[in-house]
Amino acid sequence: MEHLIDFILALFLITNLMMAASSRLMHCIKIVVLQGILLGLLPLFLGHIEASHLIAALLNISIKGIALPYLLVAAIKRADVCRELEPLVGYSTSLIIVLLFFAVSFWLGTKLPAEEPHLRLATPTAVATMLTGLFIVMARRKAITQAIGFLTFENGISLFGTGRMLDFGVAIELGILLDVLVLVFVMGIAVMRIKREFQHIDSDKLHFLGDNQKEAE
Amino acid sequence: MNETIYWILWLIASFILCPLLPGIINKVKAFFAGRKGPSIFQLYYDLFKLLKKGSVISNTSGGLLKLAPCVSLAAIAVAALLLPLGIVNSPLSFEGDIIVFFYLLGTARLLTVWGALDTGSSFEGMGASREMQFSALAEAAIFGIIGCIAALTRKCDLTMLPATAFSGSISAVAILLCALAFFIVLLMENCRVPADDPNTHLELTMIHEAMILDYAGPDLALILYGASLKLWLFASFFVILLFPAIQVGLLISSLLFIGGIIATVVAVGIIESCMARYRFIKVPQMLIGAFGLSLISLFFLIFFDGGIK
Amino acid sequence: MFELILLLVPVIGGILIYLSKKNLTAIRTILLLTALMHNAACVLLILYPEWNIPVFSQYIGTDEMALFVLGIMSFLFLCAAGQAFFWLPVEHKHDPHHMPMNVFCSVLCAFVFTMSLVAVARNFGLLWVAVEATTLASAPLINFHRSAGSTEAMWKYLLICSVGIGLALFGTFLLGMSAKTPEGVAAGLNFSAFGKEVMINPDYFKAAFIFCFAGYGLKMGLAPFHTWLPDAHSEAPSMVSVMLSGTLLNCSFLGLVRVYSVAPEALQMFCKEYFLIFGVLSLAVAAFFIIRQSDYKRMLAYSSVEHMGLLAIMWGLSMQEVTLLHMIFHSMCKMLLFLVAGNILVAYGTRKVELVHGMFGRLKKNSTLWVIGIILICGMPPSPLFLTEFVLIQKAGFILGGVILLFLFMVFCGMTCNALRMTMGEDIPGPVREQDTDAERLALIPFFVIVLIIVSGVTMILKNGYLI
Repeated sequence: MEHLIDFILALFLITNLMMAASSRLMHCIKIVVLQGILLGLLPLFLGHIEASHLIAALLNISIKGIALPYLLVAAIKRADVCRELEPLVGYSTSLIIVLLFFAVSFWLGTKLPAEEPHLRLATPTAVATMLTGLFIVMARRKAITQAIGFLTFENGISLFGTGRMLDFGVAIELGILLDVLVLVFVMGIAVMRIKREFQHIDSDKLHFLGDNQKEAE
Repeated sequence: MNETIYWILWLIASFILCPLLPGIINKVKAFFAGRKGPSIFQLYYDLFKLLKKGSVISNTSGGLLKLAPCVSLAAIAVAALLLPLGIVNSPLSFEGDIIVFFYLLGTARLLTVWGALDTGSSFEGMGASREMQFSALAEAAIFGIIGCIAALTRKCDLTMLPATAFSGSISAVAILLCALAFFIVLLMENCRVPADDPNTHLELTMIHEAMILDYAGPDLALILYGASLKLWLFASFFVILLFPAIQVGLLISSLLFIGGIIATVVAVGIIESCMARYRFIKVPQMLIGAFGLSLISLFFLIFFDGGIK
Repeated sequence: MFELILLLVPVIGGILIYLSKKNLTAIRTILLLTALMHNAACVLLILYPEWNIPVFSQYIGTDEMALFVLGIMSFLFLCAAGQAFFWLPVEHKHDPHHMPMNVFCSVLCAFVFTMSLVAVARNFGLLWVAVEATTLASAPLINFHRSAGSTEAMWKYLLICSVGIGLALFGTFLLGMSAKTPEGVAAGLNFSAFGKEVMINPDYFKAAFIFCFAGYGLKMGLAPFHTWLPDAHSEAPSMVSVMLSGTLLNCSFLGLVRVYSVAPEALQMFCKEYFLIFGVLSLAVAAFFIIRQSDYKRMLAYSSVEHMGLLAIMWGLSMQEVTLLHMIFHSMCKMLLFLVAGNILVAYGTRKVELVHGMFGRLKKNSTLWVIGIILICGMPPSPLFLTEFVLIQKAGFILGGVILLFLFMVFCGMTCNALRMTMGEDIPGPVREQDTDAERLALIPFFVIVLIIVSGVTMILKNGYLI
């Protein structure tokens, strides 16, 4: 069982690398879905299976594995987004930066007080995933990729919570998942509105607002 | 003593059997394409045919063009002397030989590149530049893998990994990641899809093929044979990474070893049939990804003390 | 029980409004009724706590701080709904390309629901869920006018706040990890779990506090995480700006205070330092941006940043009653100003200060309210904010007090200068237009609010002189 947890966490790290390197929108979505499913599977390998673990796994997989990609794909189709990513930071540089994040988070992981052996990899992996998500938010141009980056970030946080979150109640976890779901829904609408107003969804070109408009003109 | 003889038999078998591997890959590809395909002994026929032919040498060439195929084949053959074959460590192995192993392979590549530059053709120069760019990146991944092996066994030797390495959960995951990284390097170093396409002759896409266009006859035969031996060595190393050293008797271990090599090349063939060649800019990313994988496994081993106690 | 009613009223109201489709009269009336019911439940909760039967007390319940935030929210919701009663038809007449009215108003109800949930949450997990939900419910409201600017503001608001609140979730998990019962079991995330006997790991708690501070502080608009705030607050229609500035910021502040309140004795100084540093920083940033501001709604938004900074400083100096007072009257003044700014926007159709001049000639009522409102929010004596800021500076000591005074003076200069430039000078030539009369008619509710503020200010200064 412990082999499997470590294996899933290693897969999580690999998905982060793939996220940094992938140049296609659909590919990115598939990676996020994969992460969601891995996240959902994780509670099942915590050693003692309870009803709450099963419910959590089911909720996670059904929301992150089915509902979220559905919403994202619907948003992409309706906003008619081009499938190439057009990154602000090149893919090779992204990969190297993500590797640096890994190094930092593993270094941090050794500094934290010791935990149960099956969770010792979880914290660094979670932090690395969070950092990767934030990096994708900053380094990719399209609004929709920023949403995907945010989802990666959120996956990292959930990963951190898995194994600990369940002590706080399934109701809270359901609330968190629901929030994420609604967030993606609203973001999908927002992407559509941006496309309609600006005829593009490049968030780095969104500089209509600001404090020094007079100077800009 | 018994083991040494066994190992020498294995070495001779390697030198004889290695031209089979490209044949197996082609057979797998043919199977996936629904064709009959060439015989798996095709490379032997080609080598015979080429050895009988003469060759034409470019006027601008110094001596290097002629020298390169022999020396590179020699380097690869010497590297083969260091590898544990059939679960038995080489009698010639010494402390730190893993670095020598990869540097001998590097020497072989260096000679090929020099030979390519020696022709004076800009086309081959382009191929050489690409080869060097990608192999520099592949080298990073290889050194990550060497680091992992060193962290795991506390030695820098080309040996079979002990069985205890696979029992700890973190070290097992680390070995898996290493093997994955090495597989990517294997694809790149042996000019397989998705890094390079051995069948193509378009100048936009060639890497390795571009360098050897000027060779003909016996020289080309040496190069083709060297390439197949290199593939054999890489496949063996891949098997060594994944197989623990367990005492199961020489016959069974030989069967396991050769089965592992065949499985590896079949996997290469399957990937070649299912995937398209990557765009040029994607290849460095693939190699950095391999480096990343080896780095992750290195982190696992260093920060979580996954090495063998 | 009342808490549950408080939560259910906006939900039911929202559903009814959504079902009314294009019937504007029904939408306005239901919105107003919802606000009244919400107020009634709130008043019952405050005046007759003994009638309250606890339900789901593990998750929801109220305490003093929650009642303050709830009271302010309920009152502001009532005023905003009252303003909406008159404003919606006017807006519909002048700019028909807006979001459908029923969607807008039902999302507004959802927004109120999520904010009420923040106030009554008794569990850190639920608190986080509610704060994140406020972002989700308020983002569509910003895009009411469906202009390019408001779309951009909505996107930035959604993204920045979601990431920030994500950090707070990380902090919440750390908080859960930090607390252990004496038996060594995780204490859970209920507020009640953090009692006297709980063992708190100081390192984890510090990390938890920093992440929660970053998350909830971002939502509260503390510098340097305030960048989304001026965009969102200035692009939203004025009654939404009222809710964003007057109540949502308080809710986020409540989140911060909740985390602070479970800090063990030894770590309270550590936490207070964060309040102080980021409070002063927000004050400074707001002052520098207000003094050269050319957009009057952005100016008000930066004024919110300034007052959130003041709230943080007050909390950091452990002046809790003063903080609550300041929170109430900042919300009231900001509501007044945003409502009047909305009226000016109706009349002039621009948010640029230089394009609005000679307002006294055209909008007599609104410009009077505008000038008085600006003076009140800057803390001139009849204003209750004068009292709180005075006490703050007295408590802050020589250096900190001096710095705060300097920044307050800068804010005062910037705001009054802009207000005077808008009201004085030559009027735009031409007869009185239809939108001018509409804007004058909308001055009713701000008028009531201003009377309320001045009366309470005068009473407080006269009766509670001992505070000074």
